[in-house]
Amino acid sequence: MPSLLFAFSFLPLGGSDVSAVERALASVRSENICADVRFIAADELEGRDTPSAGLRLAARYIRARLERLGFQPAGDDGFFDRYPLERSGFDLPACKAWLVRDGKSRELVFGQDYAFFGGDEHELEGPVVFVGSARAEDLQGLELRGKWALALDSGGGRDRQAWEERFQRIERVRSAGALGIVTAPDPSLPAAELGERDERLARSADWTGRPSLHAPGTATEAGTQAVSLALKSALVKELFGARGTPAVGADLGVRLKERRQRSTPEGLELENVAGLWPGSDAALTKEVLILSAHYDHEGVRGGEVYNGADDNGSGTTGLLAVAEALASYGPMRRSVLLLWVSGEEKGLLGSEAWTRAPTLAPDLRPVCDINIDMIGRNAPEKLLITPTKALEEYNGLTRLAEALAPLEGFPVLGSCDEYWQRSDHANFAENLKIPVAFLFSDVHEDYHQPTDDADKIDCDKIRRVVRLVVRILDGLQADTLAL
Amino acid sequence: MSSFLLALLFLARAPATAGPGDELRLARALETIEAHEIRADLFFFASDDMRGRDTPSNEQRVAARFLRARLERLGLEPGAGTSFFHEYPLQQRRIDPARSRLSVAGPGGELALVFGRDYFFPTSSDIAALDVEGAAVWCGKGEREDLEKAELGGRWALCQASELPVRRRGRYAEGAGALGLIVLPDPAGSADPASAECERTTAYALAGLSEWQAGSSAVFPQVCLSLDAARRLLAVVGVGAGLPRPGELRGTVIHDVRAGSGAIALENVCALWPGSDQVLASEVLIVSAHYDHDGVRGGRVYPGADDNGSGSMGLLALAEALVAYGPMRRSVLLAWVSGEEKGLWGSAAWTKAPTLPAGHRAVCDLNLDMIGRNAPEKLLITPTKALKEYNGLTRLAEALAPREGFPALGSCDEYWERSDHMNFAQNLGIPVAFLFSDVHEDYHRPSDTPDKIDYDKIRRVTRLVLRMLDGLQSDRLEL
Repeated sequence: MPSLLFAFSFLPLGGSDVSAVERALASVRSENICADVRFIAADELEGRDTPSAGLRLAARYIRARLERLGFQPAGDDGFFDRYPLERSGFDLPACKAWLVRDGKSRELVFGQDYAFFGGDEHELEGPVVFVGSARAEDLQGLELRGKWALALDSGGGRDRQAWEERFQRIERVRSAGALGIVTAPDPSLPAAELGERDERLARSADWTGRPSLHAPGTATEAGTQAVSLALKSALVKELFGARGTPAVGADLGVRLKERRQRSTPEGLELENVAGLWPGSDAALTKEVLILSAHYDHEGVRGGEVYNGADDNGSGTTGLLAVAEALASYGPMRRSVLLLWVSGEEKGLLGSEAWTRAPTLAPDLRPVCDINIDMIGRNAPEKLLITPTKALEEYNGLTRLAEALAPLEGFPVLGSCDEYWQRSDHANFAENLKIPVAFLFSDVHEDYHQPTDDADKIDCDKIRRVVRLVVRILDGLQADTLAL
Repeated sequence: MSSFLLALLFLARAPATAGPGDELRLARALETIEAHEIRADLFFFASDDMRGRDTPSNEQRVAARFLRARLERLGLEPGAGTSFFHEYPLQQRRIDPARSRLSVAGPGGELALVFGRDYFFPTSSDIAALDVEGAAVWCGKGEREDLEKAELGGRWALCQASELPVRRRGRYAEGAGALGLIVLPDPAGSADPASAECERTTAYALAGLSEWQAGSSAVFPQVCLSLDAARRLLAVVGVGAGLPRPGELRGTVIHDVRAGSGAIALENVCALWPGSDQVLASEVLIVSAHYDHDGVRGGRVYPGADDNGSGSMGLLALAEALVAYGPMRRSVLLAWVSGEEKGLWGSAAWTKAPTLPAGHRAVCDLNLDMIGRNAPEKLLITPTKALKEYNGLTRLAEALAPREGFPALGSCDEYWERSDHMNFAQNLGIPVAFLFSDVHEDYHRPSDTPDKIDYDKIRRVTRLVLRMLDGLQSDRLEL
């Protein structure tokens, strides 16, 4: 108890250290941030794709800074948290389908006769039943167990509602016990439209063959997805034959066999970068405040470098500026972990890996995460946060940010609750069950474009967001935290 | 002799600028040079991912941008006009097959021969941009007398392949005033020697041969034809299947266009630390280090941690120390040059067109190359007393070195011509000195890695350089 009083007398704002925070805030310079952004978003880093040489260079640039500033390595290999990923796709030559009629089997060519867009490995065979448009009323009373449900797609539309209807259709067919849904364009559609749909089918086949990154062993998650495939227009005409569109519930007298196989996954090793700034308080130093930012982006596409100066060069260099500010501050009472994660653009893979196996010493425990992603564009006073009051996850971090933001020229924090699931903080919340907050200054015309360049960045804005983060950290030093 | 004494006295007493504040400034600046920071930088600079910073390479550009980021953060001024990058062109002699033709017009029609398939260059020095047109003369076996006897002035010499090297025949033909030389295999034979013999040259020509200064001497066009091309050519010039008789091939015009493919930009990185003295600020002390190395060879990265990651990172630590020091009376230019391993390209380019602000002049250059290996107290310098170029920089270094743990500077006079300081001496006519801690078993090997570096040694060399700069601030320099 006396020690607590003693502490309070020197740290009037619940553990805050006024002279240290002033010193730290003064060390945050927009010139420094701009210089770092120009490096991280230089064409020569080739858009920091996961995985890529440019990403590795960015990681080593961050490491050099942490080493210079005297941070403690907090990865499993020095400053690097190495995590495995796999890259796999469908083994398209091995993916096949056959139509069997009267004992005669005909092979269908992927991309030419049919296509699928995802899903698991399987081999399924059964009779094909026509289910109209697979509306609820179409399916009523039909026995679909062990059968394929062929549905016509006549409505179109690539809007959200149309997509939702498609998902619901798949789900309805699945719950009716079907092997899967087979969709085809309504043969009565105008020829031009049929041609367009067939082309789209061929194009999406390219996309299906492209390998994707995923955590080891997660390429397929058995039983989670309904089976769906699409037929080319000519093929459905042939199936219907001269009779034209059959009655709903009609068995088409043909069996469909389909085999889907994935390629052997290629093993990759990726890096998160982790630097620890140990706390000074014997007890509180075990509690770790985490700041995270992804440092990867989209790489090079079609010969153009997607520099990702704002996404997330801004957060990456902002975190470097926080590191520098912490070096000026000296130790806080609690420990601070700075974590740069990769694979965000590929599906939050780096933060997923880290939060599944945090590289913290066994006696340290994470208490919260503040994630920064895209903080260098739009109006100077515009800064968004999630979770706001509107979400049940609203917490002390948001409250603290809201209270301190006006000191840094952000009179009111807006809401980005629609991004609650869309950046790395989501993994901290879900996997570590700790309070998180996400600072974000919104998308813009250069979002995920090759024009997201360093010269468009508002470095002073990054500076102020960094200062806000330093103030938040300083405000999280009280003996007990109510987050 | 008296000036030498004077210089030593200055050193021993007050470091030139006078005023007790400067000793404090120097002490403060020396303190900022830290081994662990140099180590952190070099582990970036010489990591495998930097792929040996070859000239030219993407990783070299990354290295340049790493230096720029630091210089911008430190607040040094751009040392090449408004930029930190001094760009100089690298000529790439390359043949673009789509834009290159050997065209033949004769009684039998026209023929366009394609580079790399139909015609070749016998040596890589024959790869050049040319546009030559003229009639052709058949010179038989192309012996010396055949070529000298023929009336070749303003015409192409055509001759049969033989044991005589193409280059030698080219000299005879050139001497006889020919436009160029074309060598054909025997159309009746089955051998097609040119395609195989010229394979390497063809590969070079297609990939591009880099050289810093091109076009210094005109290239005499020399071409070898494939067997198939030889037969087609003979059909066009109208002599049937056999070889022509000596003499002019009437009506034959050979038009040779080969596309050279211009230049790419290489980068030196230059930063200026402007002086404070109204007059002396125009005098620029240069400290240089090359930042390139050997790249990747045979699949192995040559990281060049010592050569010359050590000098490059030393220079970066010096930049930081200068900021702590504040402005010196004279200006200081820090120059990281590229292309050293390829033949001192970067320093040659810079010294031929120095990027100093108007009214400024270079007064000396101190070059750092490989300063991070061998015994802690071993440091070499050139020029020593043994060379006539021995100068005040060496004297200053010799006087100050013991303070940084180098009791006596050894000699590396045998390297007097072998690093970038040479270009500063030759092209700018200024005194130069070269600090070097000698070669070692990892010199120009993939094993020149950052874990073998003596970071404290780089620290001490950098401190020595700072002391030298501080010692070069008196009103008049006797170098």
